[in-house]
Amino acid sequence: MTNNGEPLIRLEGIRKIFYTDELETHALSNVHLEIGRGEYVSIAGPSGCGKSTLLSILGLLDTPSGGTYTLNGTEVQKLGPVERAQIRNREIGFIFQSFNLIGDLTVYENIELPLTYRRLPAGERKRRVNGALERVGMLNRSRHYPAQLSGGQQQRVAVARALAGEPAILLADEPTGNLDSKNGEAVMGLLLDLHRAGATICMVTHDPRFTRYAGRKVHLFDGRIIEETRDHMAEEKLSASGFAVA
Amino acid sequence: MSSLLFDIRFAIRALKRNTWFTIVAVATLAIALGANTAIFSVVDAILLRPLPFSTSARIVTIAGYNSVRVARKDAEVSAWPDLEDLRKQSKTLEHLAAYSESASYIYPSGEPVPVSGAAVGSEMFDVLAIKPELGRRFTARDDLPDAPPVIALSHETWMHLYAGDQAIIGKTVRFGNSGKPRTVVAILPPGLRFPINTDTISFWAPIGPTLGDNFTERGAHFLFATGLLRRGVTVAQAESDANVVAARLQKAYPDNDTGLKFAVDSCQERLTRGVRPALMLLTVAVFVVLLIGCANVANLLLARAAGRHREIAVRSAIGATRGRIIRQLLVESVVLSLLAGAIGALLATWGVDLLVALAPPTIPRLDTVHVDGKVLFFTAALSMLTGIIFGLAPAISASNTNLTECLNDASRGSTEGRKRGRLRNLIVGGEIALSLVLLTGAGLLLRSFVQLFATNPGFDSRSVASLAFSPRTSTYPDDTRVYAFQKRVIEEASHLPGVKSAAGVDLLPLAGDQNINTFNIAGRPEALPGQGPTATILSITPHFFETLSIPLLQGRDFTANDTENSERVLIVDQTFVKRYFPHENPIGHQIVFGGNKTKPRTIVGIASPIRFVSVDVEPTITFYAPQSQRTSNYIHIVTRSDNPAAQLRPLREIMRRLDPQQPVIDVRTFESLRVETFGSRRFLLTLTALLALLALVLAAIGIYSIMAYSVAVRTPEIGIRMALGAESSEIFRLIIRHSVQITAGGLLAGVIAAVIATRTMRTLLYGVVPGDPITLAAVSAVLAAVAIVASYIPARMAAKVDPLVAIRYD
Repeated sequence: MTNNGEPLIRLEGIRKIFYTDELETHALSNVHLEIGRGEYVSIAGPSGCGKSTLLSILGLLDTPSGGTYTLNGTEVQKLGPVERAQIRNREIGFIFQSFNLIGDLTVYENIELPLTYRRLPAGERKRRVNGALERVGMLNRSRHYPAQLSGGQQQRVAVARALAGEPAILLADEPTGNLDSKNGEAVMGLLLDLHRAGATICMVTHDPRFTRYAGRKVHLFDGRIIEETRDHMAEEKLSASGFAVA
Repeated sequence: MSSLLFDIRFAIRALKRNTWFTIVAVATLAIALGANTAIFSVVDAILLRPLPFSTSARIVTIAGYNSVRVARKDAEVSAWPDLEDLRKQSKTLEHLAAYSESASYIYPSGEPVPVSGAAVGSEMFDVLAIKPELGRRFTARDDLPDAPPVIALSHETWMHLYAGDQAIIGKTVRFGNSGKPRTVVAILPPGLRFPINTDTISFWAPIGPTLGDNFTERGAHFLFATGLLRRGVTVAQAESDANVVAARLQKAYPDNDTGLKFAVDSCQERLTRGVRPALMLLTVAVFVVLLIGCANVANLLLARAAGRHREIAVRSAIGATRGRIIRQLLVESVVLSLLAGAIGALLATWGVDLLVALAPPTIPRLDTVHVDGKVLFFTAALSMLTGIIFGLAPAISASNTNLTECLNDASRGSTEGRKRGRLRNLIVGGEIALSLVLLTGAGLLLRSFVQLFATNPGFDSRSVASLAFSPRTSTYPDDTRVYAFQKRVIEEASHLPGVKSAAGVDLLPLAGDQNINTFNIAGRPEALPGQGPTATILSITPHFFETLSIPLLQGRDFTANDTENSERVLIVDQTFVKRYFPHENPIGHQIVFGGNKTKPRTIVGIASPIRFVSVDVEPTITFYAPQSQRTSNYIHIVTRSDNPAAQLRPLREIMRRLDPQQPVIDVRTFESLRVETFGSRRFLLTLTALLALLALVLAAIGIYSIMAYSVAVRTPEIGIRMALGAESSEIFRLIIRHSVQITAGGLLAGVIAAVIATRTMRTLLYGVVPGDPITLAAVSAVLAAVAIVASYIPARMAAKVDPLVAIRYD
């Protein structure tokens, strides 16, 4: 579960409360969660259970109302916007349900974008972008614009963008939500392949077909973790079913 | 028709629903349309509307000129005998009348009342097709030198000074400097103004008896003339015919008429020639402001259309053709612009009052400027056109909708593409370019004005006060008594507290007077007839140079010893010396005026050159003769002091003390006269600057709205960038960079357009060239700064975007 005994992510007593008018909504209540390096964790649960809120907090897009969040040995819940932006850029790779590619940028430029924020030299950026494109099988589409690609291809580009920064963890929010089943399977296969190569992945999904890829399944209900299950055989089962990685 | 009414109803409902959009769009367009309406009112009244005479289309001006020495465009005045020959020999002119503006006195109750009027040829009222309210028109007999003195009074003068006396015809009134009686032969209809560019006109007197020696003198060119074309004759035919007569006169009178030609022009065109370039510039400038306003509203519509894709897709899905959708959207635009036009017309009624108040009195026909039916029709037509201009591109763009995408909302996955954004950027870039052209125009006019204001006319006007009067011939019947009285006034003025020196001069520089005399240098070959050099001659008293701070470079000033009977002397200026005595001392040489008919004058001094005609006209040759030897009845007493304004009252009191009956024509500071000469330029500059400022504000609003809209549209993209690790400062720079890119494109296009467009302003500039790099650089810097300021708030908004909200934005 851990590498060198220290989890990559540790959430202790995380709470998230939304205030609207006179109403107080507890999106997350006393969440404890640890994710080790190289783990593949899926977070599942019904709509409104707090999956996306949890992922937003994990991705430093949102701040918890209480509790402690330690990422890679650093407490991050009280950091300022600049430090949070820097950690997002270096430690976290996002894969969104709606791909969230920038329409005005080519595939290459979309993947290069986070690297420019890190002020990497041009040569290094090129090496990483091409490497990421090759890993997702999109090298031949590097000059295309997002609108010229299918949904599945766009999501592969989004995965490549997440990979290019060589993050500590990939956070995937319903990565197959906008895809048909064939493309959805392909993207999941791609994530599995990345996991096999050592990537740490935390994925939110409500689709039971895809939770089977994860080694650990976390079930949320009403903002609380109600169940955690481990499946050490997940990969073997997938191989046995003849799943082909994209 | 019913579907059009449906569209209009829907458009009104849609505008009501989008209150803020409607307010911003209508306000922008109303200001631009109001400005256009106001300027059109002026252009219509001055340039387009016929003169207020039934013969307007056939009234022409006739001006003789020496074609060897003067360009046609500079033709102004003619000699009486030449005009009389033309009147008699012309086959194309039905009538011709000379005229000269005149200021005089009428004595309705014994006391002189100063009045303005004109000495006119007997056919003047035939040219204008004016029938007197009472009495008769002038006849040819009234124009004879020995004709009994008669006068025609304006309706207003008759009412105010003679209480509308119905029996006035045939009665005599005392008139002129001498107060001699004249018989009233006509009362003219109310509101008659000719010459047109005069404030008020109280009388018309036959010109013939006023001419004296000039009745036969072909060298005395000082009369304006107007004529009436025969029916069916064009202006060009009349000029050609007049020049046949001129050719005869050249042969018959080579001494005076060598090179004589006549310039015949439409009276209306001639009258407005001076203001035409400025008004055309203003028309273009105000239209540019309208285009900028249109660009702003087009951008707002594009932004609004982006939010209406689904509505438009639904309309298409239920069977609306693309043309039908475009029509619906255009109806919305036109309803918007008509509403703005109505408000603009209201604004224009106030704007016209402001324009007239700002305008200098030298602009003709200003009193006829008002918002009338024709102007309102123009506003309505322009509003319709405006609605189509700003509505067409957004309508075409909005109607080009992908039905499936819109209805299924399947465009998710990537942020908005480039196409529509490009159109908006292009519009704002164009707006910046137009603003730059307008600002450059205003900048060039400003630089011209500053240069002109700083130009040294060769004398110091700031310390000088002036009192003008013309001793009455009844009390001062000869030159000796006139000069003696003038000297007494000067003497008294020189002893006023604070006055450092006082003098007299017949014509003040910059006052618009012209005085052109041909001369020869004694001992040098005489020029061919009509080709001799010319100069302005001023009659001055001693201390004139000291009073106006004109340096006397060599020789001496006039003194009390320069009398009527002493040697005839002359002071020349450096302009003359450089041209005719570049390597010689002119002092002691003699100048002969008027073709050897007068005694020569000996040069005794050299003065520094002055700009006599206007500050923007290079110094021409100016000679100075002693008032004692060349006595002019009309004189300006000028005094030099530290506070010239404080001298005005004491100057009047001197006159009241010395001769209470003597009317004073004018008392003023010389500086006020100098500033007045800048009136037309200041008017043009003020209006152009106002329009440029309006353009700048509209451009700033345009940039702000495009950037604010861009931030709104790009919020998901900004969220993604922030999720990927972009810091706020990077997002801020991203938006500013976008603004800089649009602005840079606009500035580049604007600079090219400004270099080309400002070439048409050449005649309005002074001391600065069209496309002046300093002006272009300054204007570009101002626009760039405004663009960055206008982008600041949207950029700050972008930098504060919450990435979580932004990503879920869609």
